[in-house]
Amino acid sequence: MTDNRKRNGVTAFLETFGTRVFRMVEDLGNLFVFLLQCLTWMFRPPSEIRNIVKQMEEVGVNSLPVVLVTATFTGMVLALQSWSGFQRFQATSFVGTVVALSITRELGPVFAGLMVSGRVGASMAAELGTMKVTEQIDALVTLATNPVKYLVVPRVVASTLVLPVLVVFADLVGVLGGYFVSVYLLGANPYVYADKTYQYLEFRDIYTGLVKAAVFGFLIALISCYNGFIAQGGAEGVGRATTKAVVASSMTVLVSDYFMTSYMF
Amino acid sequence: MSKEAKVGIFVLLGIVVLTYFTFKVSKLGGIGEKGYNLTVDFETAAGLEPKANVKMAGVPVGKVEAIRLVGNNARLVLRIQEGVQIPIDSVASIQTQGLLGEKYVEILPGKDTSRMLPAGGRVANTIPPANLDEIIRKVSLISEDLRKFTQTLASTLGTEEGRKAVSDILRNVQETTEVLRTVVAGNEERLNRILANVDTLSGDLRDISSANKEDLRATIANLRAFSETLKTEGPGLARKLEEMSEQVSGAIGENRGNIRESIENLKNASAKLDNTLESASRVLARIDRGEGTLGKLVTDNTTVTSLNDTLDGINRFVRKTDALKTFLDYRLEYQTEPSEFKHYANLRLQPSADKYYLIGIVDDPRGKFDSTETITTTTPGGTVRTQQESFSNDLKFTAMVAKRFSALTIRGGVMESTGGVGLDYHLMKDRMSIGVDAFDFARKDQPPHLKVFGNYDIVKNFFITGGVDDVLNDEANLRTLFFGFGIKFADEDLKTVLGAVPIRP
Amino acid sequence: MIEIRGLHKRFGKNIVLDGIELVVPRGKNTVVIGGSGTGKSVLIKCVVGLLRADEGEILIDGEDATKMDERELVRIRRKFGMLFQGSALFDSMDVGENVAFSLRRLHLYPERQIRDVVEEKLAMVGLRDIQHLMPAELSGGMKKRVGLARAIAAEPEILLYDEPTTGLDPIMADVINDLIISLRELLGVTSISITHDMASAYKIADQIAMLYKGKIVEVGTPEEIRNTRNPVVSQFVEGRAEGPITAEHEEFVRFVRRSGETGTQGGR
Repeated sequence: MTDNRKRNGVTAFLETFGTRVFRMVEDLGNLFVFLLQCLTWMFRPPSEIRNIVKQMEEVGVNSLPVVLVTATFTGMVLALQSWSGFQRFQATSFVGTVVALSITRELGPVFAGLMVSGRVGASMAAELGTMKVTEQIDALVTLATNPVKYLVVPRVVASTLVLPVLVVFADLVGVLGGYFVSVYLLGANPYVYADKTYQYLEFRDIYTGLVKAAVFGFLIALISCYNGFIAQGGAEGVGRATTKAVVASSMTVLVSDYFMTSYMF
Repeated sequence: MSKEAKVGIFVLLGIVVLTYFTFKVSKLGGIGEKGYNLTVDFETAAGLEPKANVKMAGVPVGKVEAIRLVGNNARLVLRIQEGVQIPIDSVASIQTQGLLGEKYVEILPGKDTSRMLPAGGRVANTIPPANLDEIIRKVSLISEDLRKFTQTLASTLGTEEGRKAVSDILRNVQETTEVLRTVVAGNEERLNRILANVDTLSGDLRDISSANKEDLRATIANLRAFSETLKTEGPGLARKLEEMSEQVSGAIGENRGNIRESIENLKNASAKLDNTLESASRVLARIDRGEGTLGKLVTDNTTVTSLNDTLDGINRFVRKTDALKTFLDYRLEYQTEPSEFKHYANLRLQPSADKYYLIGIVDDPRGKFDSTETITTTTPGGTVRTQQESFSNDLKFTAMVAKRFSALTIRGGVMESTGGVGLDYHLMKDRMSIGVDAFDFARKDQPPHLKVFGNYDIVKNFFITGGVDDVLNDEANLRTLFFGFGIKFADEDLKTVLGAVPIRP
Repeated sequence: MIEIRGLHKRFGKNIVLDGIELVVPRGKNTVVIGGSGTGKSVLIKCVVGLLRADEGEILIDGEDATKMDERELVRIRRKFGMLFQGSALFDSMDVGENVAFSLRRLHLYPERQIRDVVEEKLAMVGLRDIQHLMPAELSGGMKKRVGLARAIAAEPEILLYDEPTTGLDPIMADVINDLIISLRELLGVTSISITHDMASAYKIADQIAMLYKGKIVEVGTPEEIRNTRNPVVSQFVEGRAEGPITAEHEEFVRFVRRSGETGTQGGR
């Protein structure tokens, strides 16, 4: 009796687990097909310039405040933390270097990516999800318009182009935030701090960050649009798709960041 | 504001910020950055990073632009700000900010302010960076001495007299250390150099003794042979000694009075010796105190300085011969028409990176055109004249001087036993070179011999070559395409190769 | 003329369309009736190419849409206009932009004429001066009419109506019915409507087809359907709770509704 129940439990577990794995693989396959569609339509005329500009405003200009605030505080916290660590062996002159390198190489792109995942990823998934469940996407098809080209390509292109720009701003304010805390609150020598900030910083550090940002932008938009496109089941379905989009794109940002860091730089 | 305008401003501002970063970051050698480069060699640049500061009198005057290995030394390229002048006899050293802080290059300005280092110049004087390990070793030696000293001190201090002496000593020590402090403060740099010189000298001594091992062995062998002889001759000798002692004892018996006298004399002599020794010790004491000529010589600083300079001079000379590099190469060229092989072997002596001498031999299948003779033969039918061109099949010689200017080397001298000049252009970090040789300008009825070629190093010791030989020659059978290969060895390769061959004595 | 032959469509294991045979005559209004979730929507989505059939043929003026690649489908879709159940107006655009959407995408008119064309199309559905309103500001009936104006903007030959009267009050439903009839007369379009509203079906149809269990069980004029002997059809048209349909209805409905939604991803 007990044995029997246990076996049933195990079987049930394996079944659930198997189904989940299968769904994941299926999802990945669908995402890949979606990516291919997106890439083919990206290079087919006509170009959706107006739509791209509109999305650039949405993803770039409108995300700027969030990204700036995040980056400023990241720089400030980084300065505080590394100051308290470096003070223990009289190396506080390196705080500027650490802040600059961390922000440009890693934290600028990653935090901007996460913020955009949260803000833009959610709104893309919700918007496209709503369009999906209210048949607006079907309507596009009947109105001689490919929805991937009309909806997905501009979002993906815009977010790929705009994320590096956001990161440039994030780098700037992050470094300034660190400078502010170190110089005005912790009493660092402003000249030494500024000197150390740029002394060991190389252009490579900045542009690798920007390349990362572009990849993040592409992935965030792709994943969010995909989740919007597969939404089903009314308002609840749209909510599910939005959550999934944010979680998946945030995770993708972190995972792809690791791989990019280890492979490229 | 329209969407387009907003996005435009956004992107434009981004580009502005990025441009700002780019300029800030590439401040070394970047656009509009003025200054000049200097080089300096150190035995080790451990812990120093590119972009580290260069300071003079504690003031940042530039950055370390690059660190390269040249020979066994670290060569630093320093980028010095425009307007900063550095005397030619300045001394460079690698310093550490704080105990574990970052390293930087400190330049102690020299006294010779009339001559300044030019752009691209080299700071010749350096102080080797103090190694932490070495410091620790020295400190442990000192502490060992200190331990012994304190032991002695403890046993001395037991007595009342001792205590009194100690207070005297302490007073003396106080005075002495006062003096010492001022002396040391003034001579820190010199002391450092003395240590370095002694180090080098002992290294040389070691080298000498190891080089003379053979002689030592011979000496030992001789000694052994001598003792062998002694052993065989031993019994005979003993017998002789016996006889001798017998004779001596007889003689003593006869001359007892004389002997007593002799002993008396000896006693006197030893007393005198005693006196001599005493005065010698007095002299030594004076030397120690710095009195007298010898004493002055030993204690005077100028002696140390001149000794130092001498050692420096020796050192520099030794380094110079070290810098001479030797290369050996052999090359085979296959000429397509007529299909023949041409061999080259060259010895290259390179005293510095931008200059070399080349001596070589060439085995040319075409030989050297010697002369045209007109031979007149008289036969019964009349006179027949034939022209005979004679070619010597001898080896040809090459001896050239070459000077290099960045990627271009100009060569000149004797080329294949005639006067010639050549140009080489180096590409791909010297892996590849293309060049042209022009020689044999006085060739009869023919333009000068011009050879265009390219070499490529497949690996360090093996290269391929190809080109056109005798380009200007109209006679088709003399202008030829060629290709071939060669091997080359630097002296360190030769050392390795020869070292691997077992050599029997 | 549209001819549907042996059309099969399944989602996973569930067969939704199981061999549909239907001829839609040119210039006539064909109404497909059937219970909620019996696959009516799947049928017209297959016709317009939003869903791809598993098997069978859909001949549109003699061309088989099921064998077409994406590019040919785009061309054939230009013959269609479709009114969606929830109107499916683009809520990020105002009414004018919605109606002008296909005109702009296809560059059918120069930009300065588009305004007039939009006005004309809106007038055809009985609306004026609402170009600048957003869809969220419209009532259900107005949305339907704007949706209709958008569907006819590019002057299609075939109109598809997905539940045109669902969710409207009886008066508004009748206004829509009148519009459908007048469009047929005015433009001479062929149309397929799907509905479970029998009043509407009787009013607008030239031909009624009953879809049940994945098959067309009966086709006829409104009069023939009204007097049918088929028990399934008669239960449905008379709206009785007891009958052969009820027994198997519920479970079937559940999965069709689900499948219909999964099937349309990617917009094909």
